[in-house]
Amino acid sequence: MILRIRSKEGMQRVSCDSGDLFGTVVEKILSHLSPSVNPATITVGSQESTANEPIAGLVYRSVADLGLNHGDIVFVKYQEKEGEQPKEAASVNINTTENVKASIAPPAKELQLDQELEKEEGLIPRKKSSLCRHGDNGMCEYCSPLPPWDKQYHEDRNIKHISFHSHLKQLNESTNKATGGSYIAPLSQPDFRINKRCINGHEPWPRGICSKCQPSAITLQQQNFRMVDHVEFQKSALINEFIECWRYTGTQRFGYMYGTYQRYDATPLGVKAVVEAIYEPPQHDEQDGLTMDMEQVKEEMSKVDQLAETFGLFPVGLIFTDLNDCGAGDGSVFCKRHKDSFFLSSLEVSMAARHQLSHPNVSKFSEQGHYSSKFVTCVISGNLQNEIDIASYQVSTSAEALVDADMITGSTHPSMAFINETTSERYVPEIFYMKRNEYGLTIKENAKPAFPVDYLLLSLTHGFPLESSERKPLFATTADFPWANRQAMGLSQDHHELKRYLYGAATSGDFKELQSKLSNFHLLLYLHSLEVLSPSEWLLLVDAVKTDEDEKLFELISTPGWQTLVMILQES
Amino acid sequence: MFSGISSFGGGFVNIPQKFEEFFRCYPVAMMNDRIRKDDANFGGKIFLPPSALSKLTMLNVRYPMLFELTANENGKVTHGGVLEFIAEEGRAYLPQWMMETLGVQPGSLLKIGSTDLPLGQFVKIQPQSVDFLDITDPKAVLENVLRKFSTLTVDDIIEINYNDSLYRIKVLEVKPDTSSRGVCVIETDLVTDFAPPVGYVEPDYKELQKQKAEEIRRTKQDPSAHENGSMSRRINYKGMIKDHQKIQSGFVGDGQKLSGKPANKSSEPEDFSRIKISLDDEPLKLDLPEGQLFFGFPIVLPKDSEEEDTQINKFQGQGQSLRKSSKRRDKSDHESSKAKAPRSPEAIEID
Repeated sequence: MILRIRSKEGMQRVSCDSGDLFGTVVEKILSHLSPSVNPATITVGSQESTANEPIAGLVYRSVADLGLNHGDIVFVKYQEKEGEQPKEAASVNINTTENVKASIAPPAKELQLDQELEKEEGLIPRKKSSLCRHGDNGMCEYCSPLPPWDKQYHEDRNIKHISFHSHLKQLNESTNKATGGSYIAPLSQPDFRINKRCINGHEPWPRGICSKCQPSAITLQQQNFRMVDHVEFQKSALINEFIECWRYTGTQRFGYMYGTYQRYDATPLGVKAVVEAIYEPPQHDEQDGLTMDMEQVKEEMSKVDQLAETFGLFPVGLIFTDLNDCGAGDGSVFCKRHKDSFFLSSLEVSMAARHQLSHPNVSKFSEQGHYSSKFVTCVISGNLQNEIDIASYQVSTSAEALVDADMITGSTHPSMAFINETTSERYVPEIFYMKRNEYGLTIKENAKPAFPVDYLLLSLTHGFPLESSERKPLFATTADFPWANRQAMGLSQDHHELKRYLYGAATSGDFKELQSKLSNFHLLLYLHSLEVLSPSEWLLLVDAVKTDEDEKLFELISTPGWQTLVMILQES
Repeated sequence: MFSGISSFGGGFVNIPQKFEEFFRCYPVAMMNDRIRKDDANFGGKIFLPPSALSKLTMLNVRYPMLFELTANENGKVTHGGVLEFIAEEGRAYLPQWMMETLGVQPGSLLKIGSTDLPLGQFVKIQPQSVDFLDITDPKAVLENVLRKFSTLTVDDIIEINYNDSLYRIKVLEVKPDTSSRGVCVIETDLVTDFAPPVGYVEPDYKELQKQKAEEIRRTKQDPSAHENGSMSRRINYKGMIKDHQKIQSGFVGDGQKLSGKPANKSSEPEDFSRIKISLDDEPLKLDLPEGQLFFGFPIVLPKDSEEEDTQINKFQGQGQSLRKSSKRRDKSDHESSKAKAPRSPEAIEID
């Protein structure tokens, strides 16, 4: 006879005889379940709601004794052992994926902004058109508001991609609202990895494969939505100071951008990344490249992330320069990135995808609880007029999945991504992309061995705040105090620099000046690293910078920590 | 004899006597090869026959001997010194420039008379071409070449030879200004002034600067100069592509010689920095560790939009079918059958 076992891992079938002890059945069940199951916590029952009978009392009773017949369902509940490493080689990879997810440590809650946008309908209102034949209070098909994903509206305004929330609403409309059935999560992060925990009763890859665990063929298409629509740099001085490094040394530079996400009104339900500060991790710069030790960078950035969080900032993107002087002597640079060459090279796409994977966007509409990322990638390079310009991009969810499954690497041609070959670790399915051939026909092309990275790119707009905007930049000063990790430029953060920058303002009694001087991201990071201020004094300083109120500053100046700092400045 | 002459001429000592005779003039180039002196062409001295010397010695002339040359045909006048008395009788050999100044043909009759010119103090000259400006030190050149001249006359166009090239210089003005309009330039300090050369245009300096900048821009906008960065060398980017191109060529391997010497002389490693790489070939894997970015790809400059417009469709016109209706399905039908398949955008455009 066969018993069906229903657990949270799905349905399994166990064959046994009616005279068998229930304990032997349990052993068979355990072999089907993941090894991290704690056998002491297993409870069973004939209904899902009543499956709370411990197996301890049942193991010595026979199957027939329990009243189980051929085809009966046994509901099983259990808890998993914590921190247990599996012993079987076959399941090693199961846990690595779980570990990866754990190490990402997504913030538990969705962004406030996402919650707000989700509640809004985002309808695009329309005025009465010439086709309307009704009064002012009426409404017809020509003047009823458009949904936020309306294609024509976006085309008219030259918006290349719809915003994430418009896309989400569009999907939700078709999957949930129209059918009226049970709720299905509209989003699902694509996963191109081969399932090494296939339950179809064969050995895992590379020793066995079946149609279920094998990833299906991938057809690349340009993604029609983007997670962030606009990147706004709070101050142009921020970019200027960042490029300064190239101006002095001629080498390229990489930095992480810190800021927040805000509403963007130019597109329906749009999101913009507002950049308040740039932090350059330790790196080795060259004229035609840059190298970072990612271990070191991650360690340092996690510290900076924590400090930035006290100001309400988090990493919103990365930025790097790719500048080559024309030699004309008027500051013009080569236009390297344009439609005839490339926008983001395959290496940069991989890097962007990796960063997007490590900064997932929490979304309750996704099966996995997170979907894509709001992390942006900015390039400073020459535009068509040979001027220095910024370009912002994101990579699509399929790019994230391709990189996550380790399917693509960079290639010698910057516009092409190279597809890796199948190994015992990974299975690379067929990858196709659609293109127009020389006869103007749309054809499906096999992407191997390489395909254009344009299929993975999303372009964003960028800009600086309008003069009229009331949002003030969080930090008043960007330049004067040297930025961190600029030893290669001959700038270092030390007591000497600190005295030059701060001593005058700290002793003059001009609080406005002191306030604006203290309001400097890199100075604050350096002050924190000095550990002169106690934690409470540090919070006071953060408040003083954030709130722009004199009282906090008065309070700070009278603290012993601040007095010590002034003393150090005096003596150095 | 000597005393005899002196006693004979005693009464004439202070009255310079004038030598005057007619000669047929020829350019120096027509002199007999044995006696010709080419550099005499670039001086201010003439050749006279020996008989002239005997006459001159008999007369009481002022030294250095200076002559006034007058063309019989047009009355043009210039002055000159004498180099040697070796010409054939009845002939005088003149430098080319002097023939041109006088406007005479070889064989023309020329009146040559001894004369007396004041020592020059000032001369204003005008080079006849802008080439003269190329001379770095015109003062030294002039000092050197004017040594071969004994007189300068207004409206002379003298010829000088410097560094294997010919320069023509016109005398515009001399001081002291006498009726003869000539000066003697032997043993004197001459103040020289230059008039702008003929054909010289004051350059538009602003325009010039702009042109220069433009030129620099054009020459320096060679993007391949940026292709040899340090990382490019480290990861051997060019070598990678080059090797692949070689493998693809299908003709690999070396030749062998029976003598045992290497067949290929240039077996030394290639200088990758000079290789021009193109991206027309198949892409290769470029596996850099995480956290490393490479920007040293060959720079492709954007095409001018004008160029794109000039692409002409060479094959125009439509096909014709002899049958009135085609049994094949319409083109639009064919399209619609595929409409369900996912379709990528016609062209990927990213700004």
